[in-house]
Amino acid sequence: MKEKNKDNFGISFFTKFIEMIFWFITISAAIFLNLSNQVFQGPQKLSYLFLFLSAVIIILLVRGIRLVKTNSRKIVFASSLSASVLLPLLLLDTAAGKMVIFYYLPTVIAILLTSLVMMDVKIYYIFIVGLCIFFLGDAFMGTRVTPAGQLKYPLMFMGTFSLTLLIMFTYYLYAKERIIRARLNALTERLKTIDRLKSDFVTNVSHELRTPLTSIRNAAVLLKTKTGNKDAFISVTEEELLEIIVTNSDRQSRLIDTLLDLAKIEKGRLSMGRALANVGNIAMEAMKSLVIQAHKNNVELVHDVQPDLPNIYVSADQIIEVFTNLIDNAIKYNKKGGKVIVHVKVAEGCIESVVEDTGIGILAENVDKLFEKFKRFNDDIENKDRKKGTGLGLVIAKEIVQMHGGKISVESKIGEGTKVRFTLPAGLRKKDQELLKNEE
Amino acid sequence: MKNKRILLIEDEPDILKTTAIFLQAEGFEVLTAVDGMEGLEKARTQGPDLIIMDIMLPKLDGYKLCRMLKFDEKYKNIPIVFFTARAQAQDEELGREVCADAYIKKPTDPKLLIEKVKELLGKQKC
Repeated sequence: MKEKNKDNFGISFFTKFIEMIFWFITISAAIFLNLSNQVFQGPQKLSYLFLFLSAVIIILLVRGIRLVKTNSRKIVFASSLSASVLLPLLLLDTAAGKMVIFYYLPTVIAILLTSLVMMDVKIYYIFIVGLCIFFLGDAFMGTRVTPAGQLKYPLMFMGTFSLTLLIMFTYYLYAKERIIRARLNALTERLKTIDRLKSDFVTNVSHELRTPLTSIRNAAVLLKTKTGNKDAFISVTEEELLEIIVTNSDRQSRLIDTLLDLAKIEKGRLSMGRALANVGNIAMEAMKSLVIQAHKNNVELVHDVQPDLPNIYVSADQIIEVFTNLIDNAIKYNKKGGKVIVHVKVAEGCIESVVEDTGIGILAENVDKLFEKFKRFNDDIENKDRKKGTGLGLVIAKEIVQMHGGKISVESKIGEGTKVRFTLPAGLRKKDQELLKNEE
Repeated sequence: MKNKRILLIEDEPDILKTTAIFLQAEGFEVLTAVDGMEGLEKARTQGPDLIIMDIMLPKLDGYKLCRMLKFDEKYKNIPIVFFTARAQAQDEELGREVCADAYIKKPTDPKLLIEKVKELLGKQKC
């Protein structure tokens, strides 16, 4: 849903076309009636004609533009243009003698006031509606300027004028309701999407939990069969089966940890025991724990850590998780024989870390979506290069970095690789200083 | 049941390995594939008697793969068993819609899978 184009909600091409014809007829009628009424003579009649013709042209122009492409900036431009054309014309009339400005004044004030009240409806519309009805009423009821220059407003005219306001207000209510309905629809759509993402999330988490369990169960049953019946034809050793059980239980417990972390983050109480630590060492530690996985995927882990990095206050457990998540992703989404390079260096009052891979890369439009929870699940089975994982690693990494007062960003080129950069400020935030003081 | 060829399509190496061993222990000849495309290729070229497949497969998911086989005159008689960790009712429903012959949820007792396989192969004979 494009919320920017509020005017465009629920207005079809056909409606616009009908509207255009309607305005054309109304204004033509107003001109005709006004002119035939011969309120003014000679050059004033011409200026009247000019005024209406310019209004018609502007309306047609604006509607025409809107028909081609709805763009609110163009509407604003057209509105200001019409105002700048109409206003001098009014003044021109006044200059022609007869203090006609007073003749228009109530309308202009009423229109401006109503427009102010109805800020969220197109002011341009109200202006035109008001003007049209005023002129129609004027033509029928005949406001007269006496030879002495005084204005006479007959009762009927005042009635018409009230009607103008009433109609404008009705239009306002109608437009407002339409906007509200459109917003409500957009909101419902959004909620539906969130709901779908959540249910996908549950489906996928349960899938991810069942998968290692299946391996464990299969291996355990095989092991049982093998030990119970020596003659059974089972072409696998006990060691291999035990290995399957161990790796899959690890995988399962890692998944559960991730889910619990996420739940903790949701409640905003991820424990924050901070102490002075060297981010470089933390990065090395994370890399060490992933060496086997990198080897399995035939990916080379390279470190580029600046020596003698200053120690900063961080929660080492959390930062190691950030590194682990990022490096884990970098390995997973890498090419065979690719590289993962971890840079850590000092940069402008903070420690900057970059996890760089030589993998498949991410489309630019998807980069922002990376940090959205549940995002990975959106592609689900449609995604041809589906990878294993919960898709929560980056969400958690972002939360942790932000809690440390740092920033995280992703740059990526398709086919070349992805760089995830995050900074950790060297200084302590006020809140942290207080926390440390309390601890002392 | 001897000499029956079963094609097992599964992207999770440990599940692939253990399930294959179960089937081999029962005397079946087991062909394996680790993604949907490979599975399709093997189903078409190797002429398996039955196919066991996961749903969340890389490259081509199980539903599509199943539909491609079941709506093809040549292969529609090969029984297909979904062996998957997608356990929701609507997933099973979708499985039926693509004409799969059985839907078995992971994790399960491997004997159940074997029984189902034997049952389907038995039916085929008649």
